[in-house]
Amino acid sequence: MRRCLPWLLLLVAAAPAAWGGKVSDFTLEDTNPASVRFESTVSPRDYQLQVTGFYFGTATT
Amino acid sequence: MQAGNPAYRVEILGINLIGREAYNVAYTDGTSLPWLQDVPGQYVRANWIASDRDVYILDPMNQVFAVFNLYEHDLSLEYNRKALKALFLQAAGWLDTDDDTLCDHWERLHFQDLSPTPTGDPDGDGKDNFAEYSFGTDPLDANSRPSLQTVVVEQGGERFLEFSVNRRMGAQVLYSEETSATLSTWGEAGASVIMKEPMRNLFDGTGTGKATYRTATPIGGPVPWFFRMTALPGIPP
Repeated sequence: MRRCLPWLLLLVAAAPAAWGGKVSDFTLEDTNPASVRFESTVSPRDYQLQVTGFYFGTATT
Repeated sequence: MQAGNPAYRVEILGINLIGREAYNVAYTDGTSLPWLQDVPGQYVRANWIASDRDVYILDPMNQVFAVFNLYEHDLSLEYNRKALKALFLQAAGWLDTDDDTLCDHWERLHFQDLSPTPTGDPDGDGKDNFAEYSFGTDPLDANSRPSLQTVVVEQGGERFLEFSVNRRMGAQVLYSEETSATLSTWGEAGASVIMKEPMRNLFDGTGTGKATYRTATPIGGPVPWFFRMTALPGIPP
């Protein structure tokens, strides 16, 4: 078996949306003018076969 | 993280809370990360059961690999930054448990198991599974085949050849650019071909990007010129 990294289990949160299955899909617009995807509609399915991090933030002044 | 680990490809995006649209411009100033606006009807935060400042790390199958909350893990502390980076690298580590040069995730995405072989050609289009995997095409669709898109461009009164090819992001596959004047002997393209622009992620769910090249010297001379790109299995980091 080829594996590139040793397995380290770090459990950092409970009850996320979809352990063991794909996250539910969505279509949201990119509002950052400096982003390569500005004004595009973005889905997590666009990033299949890649690793992604989705940060849930709250924009304030 | 990307600079230190070029073998991996990780994309980070932000999703803003519904009702906070008015503050998007101020929030994105100085960053180029995609900043998505959640809206009624999509309710992503609710559907994913996410809390404020959660970072959801998804693996290549779009499954939750880990959740890392930034209230609980202050990134001003180095050990928290290292922990988050380690999670991303673990998620990005590609698996080839059946040792067939085809990434497990790709096999499961297209075939739902690890049965395909690198030399198999289930759609009968003349391109084996390793070629379809390497160049981001559908191994089950004969109309989806690896190809080189070419165009002649004029610059300064001279003509140059530009060509594009889709290839895997990261280092799961190694590529070499080769040229020939005879189609029988090939050598490294070297300085005769330049990469016109950085590889662009296609964001189409294939895990591939588009690489665009240009000939370094004008075309149209007396000596024929041929180009090919070959793919070989990558070496796990």
